[in-house]
This record gives sequence, C-alpha cells and structure tokens, in this order.
Amino acid sequence: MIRFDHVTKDFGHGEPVLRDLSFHIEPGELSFLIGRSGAGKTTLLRLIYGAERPDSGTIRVAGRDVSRLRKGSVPYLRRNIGIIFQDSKLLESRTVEGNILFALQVAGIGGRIARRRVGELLERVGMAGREESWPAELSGGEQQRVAIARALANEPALILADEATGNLDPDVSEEILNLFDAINQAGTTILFATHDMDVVREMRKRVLTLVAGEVVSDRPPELEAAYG
Amino acid sequence: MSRPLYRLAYLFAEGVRAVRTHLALAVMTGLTIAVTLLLLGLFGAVYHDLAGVAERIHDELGMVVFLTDDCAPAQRAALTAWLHHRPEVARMEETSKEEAAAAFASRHPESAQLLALLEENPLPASLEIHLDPAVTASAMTALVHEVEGFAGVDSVRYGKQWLATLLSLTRWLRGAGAAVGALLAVAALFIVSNQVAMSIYARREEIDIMRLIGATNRFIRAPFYLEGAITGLFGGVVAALLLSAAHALIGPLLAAGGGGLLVGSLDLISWRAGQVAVFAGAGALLGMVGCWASLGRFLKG
Repeated sequence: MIRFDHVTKDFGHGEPVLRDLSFHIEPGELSFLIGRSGAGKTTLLRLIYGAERPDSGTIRVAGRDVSRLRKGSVPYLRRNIGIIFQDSKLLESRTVEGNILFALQVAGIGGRIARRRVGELLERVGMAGREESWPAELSGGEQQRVAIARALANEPALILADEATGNLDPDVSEEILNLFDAINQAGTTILFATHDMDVVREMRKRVLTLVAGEVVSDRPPELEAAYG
Repeated sequence: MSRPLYRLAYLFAEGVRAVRTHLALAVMTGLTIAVTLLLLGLFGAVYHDLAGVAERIHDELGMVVFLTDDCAPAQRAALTAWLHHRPEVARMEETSKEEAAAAFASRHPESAQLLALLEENPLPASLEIHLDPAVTASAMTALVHEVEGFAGVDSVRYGKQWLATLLSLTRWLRGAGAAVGALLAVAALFIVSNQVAMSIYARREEIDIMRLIGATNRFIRAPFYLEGAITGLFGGVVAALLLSAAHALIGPLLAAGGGGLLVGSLDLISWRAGQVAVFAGAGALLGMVGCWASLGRFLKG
C-alpha cells in the first residue's frame, strides 16, 4: 500500500528531516509510526498525501508514484486517503452532518445518497443521531469520531492518523484506538503516527521507529508483543 | 439530479451559506464596495456634467458667417452646400436679412422704430454654424479662412481666443477626468481585493481543511466567487440607494445655494431601475474580481 524507496526530504534548515528512508506497508496493515517531536513523523505523512515532495527517492501509494504527482492530481489522491489530525480539523461553521457531507460533495456525491451515507458513517463511529450537532458542542473524543467518519466518507483504502489521540483522556483514547482497530479489521490500511508509547503497547501492532529522519527499528506485531 | 445540475445547486447553496455564516464580514465587504462605487458614481456624474458644460459653451460659441448684400442665391447655395459637407459643422441655421431685422426688433423693441426709419435694412443675412464638439481650434481657424475666401461672404465672426482656451480646457478636463477615473477604479479594486483578502484570511483554516479533504482549487474558489458576487450586488444596490438619496437631499440644496456648474451633476443620478442594475452589476463584478485577486495567494502550493 505504501512504499518508500530511499526518500530524502531536506527543508534546508540544517540536517535533512528524512534521510534515505526505505520501508513498505502492506495493504490491510495497521502500523504505528513512533518518534519524538521533530523526528519527521508529520513530514513523512505529508509526503504520503502530497503536501510535500521528496528531494530524492520515490514514494508509491497503492502503486501510484506520488513523489512525481502533478499539483492538479493531488486532490484526487487525497480523496482516496483519509487523514485524521490531533485537533480533528472539523469545519466549525458546519454541523456534524455538514462536515461529513462536505467530504462527499467534494467527490461529487450529494442528495439523498450522501445523507444516507452520513447516517451510516455516524452509526459506525458511535455518533448516530448527532447529525445536527455543531463541532463546538462535542467533546474532544466525539469530535475525533466525527473526523474519523469524515475520513471514511469516500471509503479510502488508506487512513493516516497524525497524533489522533494526542488530545484525549486515556479512556477516550482507548475507545478511539478500538475504533481504528475495527476499521482496520474491515480491510483499511492505517498508518498511525504517535509519540505515545502507551498507545503502541496497547495495540500490539507493527511499529516503525523514526529517529532523526531514519527508521531505526521496524518491529512486527509478534515482536512488539514480546517487547510489551 | 444530473451531476452538472447538482454542482450548480451545490455552488449556489454554498455561496448563500457562506454569506449567512460570515454575515458580518460579508456586510463589511459589501459596504466597502458600496462606498467605492458611491465615490466612482459621484465622480462619474460630476465629470460627465463638467464635460457637458464645456460642450454646451463650445456649442454656443460656434461661428457666424455674414453675407454681403449682393450675395447671389447661387453663391449662397454653393457656400451652404460646401458647409453641409464639412465634418467640423454639426448643424447650421440660415438667417435672411428680413429675419435678422425681425429678430432685432423683437430683441430691442425700443430701437425697432430706428430700423424702420432707414430706407434700407442694414442688417446682413447670415449663417450661424454650430461646430462638432470634437473640432480643434486650429481646424476651426482653417475653416474660417476657407469660408472667408468664398464669394458673397462679408465677414466671419467667432470667439477665436475664447475658442482656443475652451477647447484646450475641454481636452484637459477629459484627459484629467479619465486619469482620475482610472486611478479611482484601480484604488477601488485595490480596496475591495484587500477587504476580500481579509475575509478569506479569516477563513484560511477552512480552506486548508477543504484542501486536505481533497477539494480542488476550482471547487474551493467557486463558492467564494458567488459570495463575492452576492456581497458586491448588495454593495451596488446600497451605492445606488445612497446616490439616489444624495440626489434627493443635496440636489435642491445645491440649486438653492447656487451650486454653479455642479447643479446639473446630480440630475444624472436617481433611483431608476436601469441605474440600480448597472450599479448592482458593477458591484458584483468588483466583488468577483476582488475574489480572483485575493484567492490566488491562499490557494498556492
């Protein structure tokens, strides 16, 4: 699903953020990307969804070379990738339904089909019946559930989560992780960037550790369980 | 619903929704457009009227060709035919000796008897020539010289000095007016695009989120353009309303207080459907161009 081959990204402020990075993630995997702040996790995710371009190397997402993607093609790539951030990034001026509808409208889906789909998605993330709520009325965990529903709107093959549980209490965080696990069980590939080791230990999945722009360890779930 | 129709419905709904959600910003932008158009409208009215005044004075100056008493009908016909074909001549009025005497008598009734005492009518027949507004002073002088060369012409009277001054004043007024108008239009565009930029800047996070979800620049831009058009339309109607109020309130004051040349300026503006449509259209266009000028910088990368 994701393949990095000798990828280097340098913003020209000292050391490269990512250097000669190579790894791949199979379809249907749930993997964690860990590392301290500044290790390059966010840059790595931004390279995947086309917000940055590598200085060298190639990046393939679902077989498509995104490192050489034209700017005009980036929106179409993003419709096939669900992205979830620490701060949920909901549109404050739209209701819960409006936020999810917007993702569908971007892909040209509207009307009754879209509304029915919103209902299904909210049910899937445990927010059924909250269509008319405004983001400001929701707790952090609820906002993150809506963000997940929005990310799933166009049935992406890949979900990228950037510190998606960073702002949540441990209990809520666990609920969100279980939700990610259920989404992964349904076949969606997930790459979850975090600096919270508790999250990683709990899930016992593959872990890529990023230090100063390099993957210093890549432990499969079995081994991660043993380390746990 | 077909996809293009759905897109159109979506665009309209999004434009209206954006105006409703960001009503304060939309009203601010609309009022900026209104003030800008109001200034342009007032300037346009005053400019148009001043240019008109110059043309009217110019028109009144014209020239008068006095014919000799022995001017034969054929000579007169040749002269009038030649003048009719001259591009400098807008229109011409012929006055016979008798008509000149009658006009003199009606204008100066106290001296009419003096005229009757004379054996012969001393007043000459004449041709009053009204010039085309575009004629230059030098073309006018050349025309006078040519007319003076015709048989049967006694003399030509025209305000040579006045004409040259007036023509140069008219040209200067037109040039200066066009320059000030262009400057005002550029300033208007600058002010409006900055106002729109502020409105867009306040929503940059929204734009970022739209892009992360996979919205194309075109998809993001379209509702902004519609929003710009709606706020501009509102601004245009407000400007037309304010100009109409200016017409109703200031017009009579100017007339009563001896507003001079400016009295006619406000006659141009009043609450008329055509005028409102022009202002609304100009406002909508200004709003959309302002959006176009501002959106680019937020959608780069």
